[in-house]
Amino acid sequence: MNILLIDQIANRAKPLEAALTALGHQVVVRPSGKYTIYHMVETFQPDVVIVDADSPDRDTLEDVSATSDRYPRPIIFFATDEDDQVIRQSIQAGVSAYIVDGLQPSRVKTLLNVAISRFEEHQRLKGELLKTQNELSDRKIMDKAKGLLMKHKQCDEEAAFSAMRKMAMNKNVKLAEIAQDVIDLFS
Amino acid sequence: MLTPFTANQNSVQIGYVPLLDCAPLIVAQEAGFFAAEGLHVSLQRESNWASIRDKLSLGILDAAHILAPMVLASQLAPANNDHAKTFKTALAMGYNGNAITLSSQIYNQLAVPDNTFPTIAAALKTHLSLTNETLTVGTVHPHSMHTYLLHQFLNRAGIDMARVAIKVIPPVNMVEAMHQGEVDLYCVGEPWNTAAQIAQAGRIICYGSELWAHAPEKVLGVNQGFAQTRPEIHEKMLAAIVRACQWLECADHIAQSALWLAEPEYLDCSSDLLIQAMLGQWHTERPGSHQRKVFFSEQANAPWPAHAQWILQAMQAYNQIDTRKLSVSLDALYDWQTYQRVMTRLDLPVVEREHFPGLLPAIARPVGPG
Repeated sequence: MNILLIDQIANRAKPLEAALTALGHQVVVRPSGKYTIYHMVETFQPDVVIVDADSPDRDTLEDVSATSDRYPRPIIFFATDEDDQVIRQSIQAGVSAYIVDGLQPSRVKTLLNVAISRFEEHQRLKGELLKTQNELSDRKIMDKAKGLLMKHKQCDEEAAFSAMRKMAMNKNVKLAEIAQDVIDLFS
Repeated sequence: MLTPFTANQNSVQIGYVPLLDCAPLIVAQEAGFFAAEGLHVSLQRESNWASIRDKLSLGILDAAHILAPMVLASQLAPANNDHAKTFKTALAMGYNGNAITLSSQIYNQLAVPDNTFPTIAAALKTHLSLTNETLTVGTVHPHSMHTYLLHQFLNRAGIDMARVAIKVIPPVNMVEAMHQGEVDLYCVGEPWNTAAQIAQAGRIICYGSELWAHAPEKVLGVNQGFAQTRPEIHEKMLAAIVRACQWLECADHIAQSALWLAEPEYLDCSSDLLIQAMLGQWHTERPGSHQRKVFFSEQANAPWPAHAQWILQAMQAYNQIDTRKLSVSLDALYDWQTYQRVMTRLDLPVVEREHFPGLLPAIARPVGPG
């Protein structure tokens, strides 16, 4: 099948493109930045369009699909009860799809599942990255707070750290929050 | 005031697209109208109307700020099925709010002596007759009042539709697209018209209210399953939104609502821009008293059956959808009974469902060459 992929996030689109190509499909990824959806649908004639559900360009795609019977339409219009699960899953993962009239949604299931797993994988990696960033920034805050405590209370590093840990335990809050309080107090 | 979200029987998920006219939802949340009804509302920002429709259809959202024509279009979708049929409305979110903006590049070439509709329309027609270029016109979705208002505007200006290409451009990209010369004229809600003026990319040449003084615009779409299984919560939610609409019509509340709307979690833009876009309700730079947005007065929250009929006729006239295929009654889609109960509960007047304010404009038929 001819698949048009519209996703502004390049490091998500690339592996998805590779995975779909490996399944034997012709895949075109829309380059970002230009309003070329009309042109791309006309020239490439996709059977399926897979698009990031959060892309503002989706409403342009709605217009394209309303222009001609030959162009893909929202999958939600074709889906039957049996397709419900995969469609619900795809929307929750942020994947939306448009398919040409006559194509059974069940035939698109494999594609959707591939897209869903790529989107979920990206989400997971993003979550991990965020966690690492938070941990890094927590550590910076802790170091700064420790330094301030050592200076103002004239104690060593270990004493500063155990003082903060004790406060955190007493107040039942995270160590990083106590560290932030220390910074706010002394600087 | 932020209500912490806890999933319970009073929790409701409401979607919106970040535009000025989603204000009733944000005000209902921030001013505590939802909380006063005992509701725990989670507001979910969406980037496009298609996404709102999908989530509303599947019940991932219980309710959403949505383009009025989409409620009808979803019923009429080709090869439609139960998924597309599962939302309706019992509440309109106000009249108008759109404007038509012409690119500064063309506007300056027109060199019009005044900014009235007849002057600009005549000058634009003459301008087009002197070139071979296509007028690229931007709207927000094929099934939108923006599209139908553009047809009204172009018809009244006597512009040949063969010279026009209508394209859908996401509102967030409108100003930039105009700046780049990719669109010559567009119809969009605020703050994207005011923003084009500030950026000197375009000039507002017509308010939607000049084309139709009481035009429908957004409605609150509700998932059918939600409305059936939780009617009491549905009505409480509508009551809170009506209260927010009433609150919004007080001129003293502009600054506060602009500050709430501007927050990063909502519209994420400058509150100055929003204040300017909202002030148009009370002060206008154009002759006559053209209101930009009406949230409450003149029964602006009524799901008028006549408005639904007009939209169906427009869809048919512009060859969008064969509306003769509509298999359900309009009463089921534009739920007047629920609206009536909510207004009664709030001690607000309800008029007869036929007594919509103003006149329905004749559906503009495309103008041919000449």
